[in-house]
Amino acid sequence: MSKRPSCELVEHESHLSAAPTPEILNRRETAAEFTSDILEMLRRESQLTELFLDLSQLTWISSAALNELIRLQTDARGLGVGIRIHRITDAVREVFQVTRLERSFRVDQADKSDDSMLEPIG
Amino acid sequence: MTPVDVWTFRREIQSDTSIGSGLVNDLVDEMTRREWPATDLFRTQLAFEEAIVNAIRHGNRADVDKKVMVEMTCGQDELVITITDEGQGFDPSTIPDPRQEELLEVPGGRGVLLITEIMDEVRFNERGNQITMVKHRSSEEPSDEDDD
Repeated sequence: MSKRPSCELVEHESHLSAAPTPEILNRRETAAEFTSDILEMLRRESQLTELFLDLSQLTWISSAALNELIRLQTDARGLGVGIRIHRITDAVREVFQVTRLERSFRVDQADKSDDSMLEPIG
Repeated sequence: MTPVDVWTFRREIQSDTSIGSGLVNDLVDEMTRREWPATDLFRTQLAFEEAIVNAIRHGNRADVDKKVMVEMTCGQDELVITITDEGQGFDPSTIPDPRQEELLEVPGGRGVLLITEIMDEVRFNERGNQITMVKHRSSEEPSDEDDD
């Protein structure tokens, strides 16, 4: 019997989408469970080449969440999967800028209300 | 009507992050009553979370026999948070800057950076087991989005 994922993961052709809540991503334990669920799916579904993280629900982001995102990106890269972060709030964007993580992540520049970023590239 | 008094809070808690993290809700409520800008709420929530997790996990090493003291005040234009653990303390100047190129993709070490960047004043006591964070009300006007 498979366990219920920590966050809904939506698979569409070659990409996977997830929209974690602050409760999931900002605590170390739940964030680790979230990334573990994603990696499990990426390992299982080899056709997936891109992961879209919708952060529109995050009014703020903790360093624990940043750590998990860094780990997730490293492990996903190892599986040949790229990460795109989109629908980011101003508060979260500020944290990415302060930590300079906007340089190592693909963070879409569109406003958080712009749903067009849900469309995959290419 | 906007409260003119200064709200004060002082509580000693166990080394449990689920208890510690919840304490910021009272402070956020008081900031909301005083109509602090949303940006200040998010920044304060983040700084508190980082500081309380540091105190419990790194300071007290999650030892349930050790306590954390949380003291907060909130006025119309300034708030102060002081968090004290029972650990050995640390020297914040020894933490490498995680923004260095070689550390950019290494997890960890961003909590203190975030606190110092988003709060207006940050002080540690000499032992390094107490942090005091001060935030002044931002001058920004609330955006339309905040009114939704």
